[in-house]
Amino acid sequence: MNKLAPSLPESLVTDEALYLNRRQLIKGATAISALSLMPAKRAAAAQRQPLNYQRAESNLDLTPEKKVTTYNNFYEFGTDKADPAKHAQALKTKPWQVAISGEAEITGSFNLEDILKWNPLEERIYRLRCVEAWSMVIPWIGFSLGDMLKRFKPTSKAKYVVFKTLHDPAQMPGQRNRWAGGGINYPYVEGLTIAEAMHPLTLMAVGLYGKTLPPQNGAPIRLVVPWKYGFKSIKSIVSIHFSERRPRTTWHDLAPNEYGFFANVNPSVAHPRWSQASERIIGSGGIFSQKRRDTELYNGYGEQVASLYSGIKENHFF
Amino acid sequence: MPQLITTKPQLWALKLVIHGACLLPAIWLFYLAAIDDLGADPVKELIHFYGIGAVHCLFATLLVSPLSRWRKTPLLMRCRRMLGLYVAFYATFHILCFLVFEWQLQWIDVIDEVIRRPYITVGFIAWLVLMALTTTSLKLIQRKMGARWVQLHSLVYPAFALVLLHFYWSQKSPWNDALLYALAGTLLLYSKRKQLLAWVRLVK
Ligand code: HEM
Repeated sequence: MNKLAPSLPESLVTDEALYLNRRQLIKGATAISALSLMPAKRAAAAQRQPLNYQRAESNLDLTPEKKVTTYNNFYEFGTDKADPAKHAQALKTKPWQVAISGEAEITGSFNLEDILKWNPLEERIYRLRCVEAWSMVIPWIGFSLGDMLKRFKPTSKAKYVVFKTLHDPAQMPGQRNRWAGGGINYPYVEGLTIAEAMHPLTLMAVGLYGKTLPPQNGAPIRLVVPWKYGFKSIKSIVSIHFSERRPRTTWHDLAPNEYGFFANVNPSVAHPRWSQASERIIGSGGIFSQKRRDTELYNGYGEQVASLYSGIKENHFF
Repeated sequence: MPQLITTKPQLWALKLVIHGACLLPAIWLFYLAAIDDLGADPVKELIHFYGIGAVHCLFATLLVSPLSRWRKTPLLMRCRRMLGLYVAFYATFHILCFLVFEWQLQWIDVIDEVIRRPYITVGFIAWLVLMALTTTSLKLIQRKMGARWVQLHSLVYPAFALVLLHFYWSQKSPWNDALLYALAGTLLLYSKRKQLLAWVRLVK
């Protein structure tokens, strides 16, 4: 264990001088001329800032950072897993706002910089189990979603929490073109029950491997729900809505028989086209050092989360 | 319009190019996958590459006879068998990668997948047909089988359709490249409708 993160909120995100300068330029009167400089920067990989956070320890084998940041399902940037790392680098993540709406006492639009001041950052090392039967172990950095949501004082009518990804076809080629975007109806929407959202394991991540998120992993802020299939962990969030009714969610809408609303990791419920009983581990090494593991119910987090589903049998499965 | 090739040396050169075009990428990508330099998931990468490679060879195989008729270049037909064998080569490596690297030789699980997942069942049937065509591709066998050889080898068309179905079905989202391949495949089959109808009548 390392020292606790210092409580100075401004130091949570250590901006590099150059970046600051550019931001101030954009804010200022010369915004237009500054923006016109952007294309030259396009090809360069997005700069990730180091974060201050409380470290975690884990006996899980981490997936190498390079694989975590080059193997992504983020159809807004193309359907191939290598596409997001190629096409997302110019994603503009500053300034970034998250709109809070629906059944809560406090609603409105909040700057990410302010949201970051509310809670100290901590590392969480979670296994991410994709519905495609592979898994990674990723050292996320973030804070409990529940701690964030409590501030808005959700009312008793808030039964579900609905999240949306940025919808910006100018920046996201997959939203401009059906072929590039895999035929998904954008914006991407995901949802949790309020109990799931408030669960201490549910994380709002802003970084991984010690630095801010790269765009392909859902910069600047994303959800991580470790006991559910990866598609529930929505990326680049711009809206959080408290709802009385269960929302329509993206993959569930596209193929209701293949992707459930709950999508809890469950080895005994096969996807119609493949088994979920075991998973391939995306780790280091080439084809001769591959490993599989048996998939665990709730991705191994059953002890903490099974109680969420006592009494709702059907949901627990799908 | 001039013939594409007219002499034996030109045929040999063409064959050499086809061998190179088919073998070198297959070996190179396998090497990259072995040293973990083929993306984050070299296993899927190889499965996809060999799968698509098989489809490309299959299209090439089926285009040989129309091309040689159109350009009046009968010598081209001498390339068809080797292209067909490369279809089997790629398809077999595709399946071996699935069995050995993805499933770590867990035979029971693989058999379970072949039976339970319709898109894999379809791929497996296509592969059985390709194997039947491969093992009867020797000139000697061809001569012995006579008309029955043509009947048997016309199974390449239904196998082609099954492969395209398997391809489309394997994709996670409904809009994908496999649709374009299916469209091209439909056009190809349509252009061969006379042969196909003749074959259907023969089988009946
Ligand atoms: C027992 C036989 C077969 C098995 C077990 C099999 C297995 C698979 C699997 C698991 C995938 C999907 C990979 C993924 O998760 O993305 C796939 C895709 C594919 N297969 Fe097969 N396959 C078989 C036969 C064939 C044959 C005979 C061909 C062609 C001649 C073929 C061509 C393809 C193609 C083109 C794809 C799509 C690759 C891509 O998305 O880039 N398969 N196959």
